[in-house]
Amino acid sequence: MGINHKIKSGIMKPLLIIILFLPLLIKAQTDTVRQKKLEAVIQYSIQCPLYSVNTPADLALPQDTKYRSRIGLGTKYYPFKRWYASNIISFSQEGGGTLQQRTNANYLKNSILWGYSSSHARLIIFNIFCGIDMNLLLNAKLKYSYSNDSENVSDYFHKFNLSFPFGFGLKTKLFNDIYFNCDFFVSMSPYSISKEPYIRTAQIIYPAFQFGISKFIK
Amino acid sequence: MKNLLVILIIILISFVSCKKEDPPLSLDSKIERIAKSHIIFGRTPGIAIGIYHDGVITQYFYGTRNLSTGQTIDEFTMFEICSITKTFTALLFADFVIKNEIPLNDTIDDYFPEDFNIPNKDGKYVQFLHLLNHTSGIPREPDLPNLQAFAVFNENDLKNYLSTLQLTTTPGSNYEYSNLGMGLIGYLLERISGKTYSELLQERIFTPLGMTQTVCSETDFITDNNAQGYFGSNETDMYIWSPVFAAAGTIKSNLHDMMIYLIENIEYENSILKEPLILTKQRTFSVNENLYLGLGWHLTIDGKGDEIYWHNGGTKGFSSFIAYNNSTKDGVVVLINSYCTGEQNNIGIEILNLLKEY
Repeated sequence: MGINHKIKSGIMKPLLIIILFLPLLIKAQTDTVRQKKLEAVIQYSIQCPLYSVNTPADLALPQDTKYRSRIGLGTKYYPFKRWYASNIISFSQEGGGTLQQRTNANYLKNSILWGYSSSHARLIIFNIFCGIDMNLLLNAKLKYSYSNDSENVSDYFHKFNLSFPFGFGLKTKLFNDIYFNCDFFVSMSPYSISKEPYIRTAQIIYPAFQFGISKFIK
Repeated sequence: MKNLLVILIIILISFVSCKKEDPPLSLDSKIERIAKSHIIFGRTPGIAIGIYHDGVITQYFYGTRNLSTGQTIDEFTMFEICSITKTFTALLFADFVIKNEIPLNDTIDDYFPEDFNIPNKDGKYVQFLHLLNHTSGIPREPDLPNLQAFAVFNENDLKNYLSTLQLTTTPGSNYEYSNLGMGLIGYLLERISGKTYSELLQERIFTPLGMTQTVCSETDFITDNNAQGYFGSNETDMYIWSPVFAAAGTIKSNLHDMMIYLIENIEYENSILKEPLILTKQRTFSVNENLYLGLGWHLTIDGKGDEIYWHNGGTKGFSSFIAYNNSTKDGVVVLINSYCTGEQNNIGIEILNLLKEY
């Protein structure tokens, strides 16, 4: 009993000290993070692009799914405690169609995003965002898998369009202010990406998974 | 921060593209753009388009008749023409009327088996005319478990269905598109003539007009140049129609034969079926000031006052559209080997409008 009491006392003292000072430690760490407002980000996404033609009911038809990539680079700026604005420039492979007659459209995207992150002092950080993508068409090709032919169909697309992404995900600290994030997002163009008025086409991206590495640089 | 803003502004400016004036396109190029857009954006495997303009037929083919093989479409590739069948049914019936075999305004009750109970409403009975212009009050179709139930809905099912059916509107008073209504025309013609719907069409329409490759029977559809139908990205089996529904959508044809049919409708004065064709064009019901019903055909009065006769069609694997301008004598046929959500109409109407400009 006496020995146990001694052991407990021996453990309790540092535990009490830790418990007492923990809020201060966390606050110190949070403050450290807060002071750093600019975060550099590199992202890679795998995304499933689809076309919806004339009516959203079109999406109910059986669709071939083909995942394509997006790679991006940018910054996040935290003007307030947990709110941020982000600008990401990315190369995004999109398109739609069947596997045998598939349209591959590649875009340079400039994404302006607004988001919320839970405290960076936590082990797991929750992140939610939405925004606007300004998309510049680089090229579009119609690929025929049965003949291995393809033809340039860029002229059928608006050169510039907008889309609205929305997503959420989790983030964790790896080491030395370097973070890893994994997000789920969807995106939709608000008006037709087709130049032809009689085929109103929305570019849908659903689903998409984004992985990123980021570092506070300022 | 300043640098970042400058970079951002430069990027934004770089994204703003200068609008260039496109050079005027030829009719062929415009039609190609219309059709190809549906292949690029619309998951459409293949499209066959025929136009009749200034007395000349031109045909266009895009995509493939089978996504697995990549085989091309030609004028002899067979498609389901879906509900365009209804215009053939109406023409067939008109032939019976012109030959004084059946009066158009006869009530249908007398032509069913005696143990059938045919509904009426407000003391008004369904006439053949009401079935042909979709004003019978008979619903679009019975509540069927799935679309392929068209294949197994037999005479006994029809008897049971009609015995409990209450017409939705007084016959002749309202337009309500009805597959069953048009199907009954085929069913009754078979009873009246003692021949099958397929035999009647072959004998009275296809053979006289020279539509040698157009068929009704599923077994006759097996050729080595069939289009494969698609529902989204899935292949679909060919649609099968029971005798009760056959007259609503069973015909299979190709662009070659459908252009013959189109021209017969446009240049009806020179047709061997001139009088039946004239009968099908008559305005028998007014939906509103711009939309009328002929026999089988819809008639829209466009912005310039032109009479546009049209019908569209769709099954789970095929889509179709036919239209002609009765004023300018232009016409268009569109055959697609996939289910569409109205794209076939857009293609057809857009092309018909284009023909006025060229």
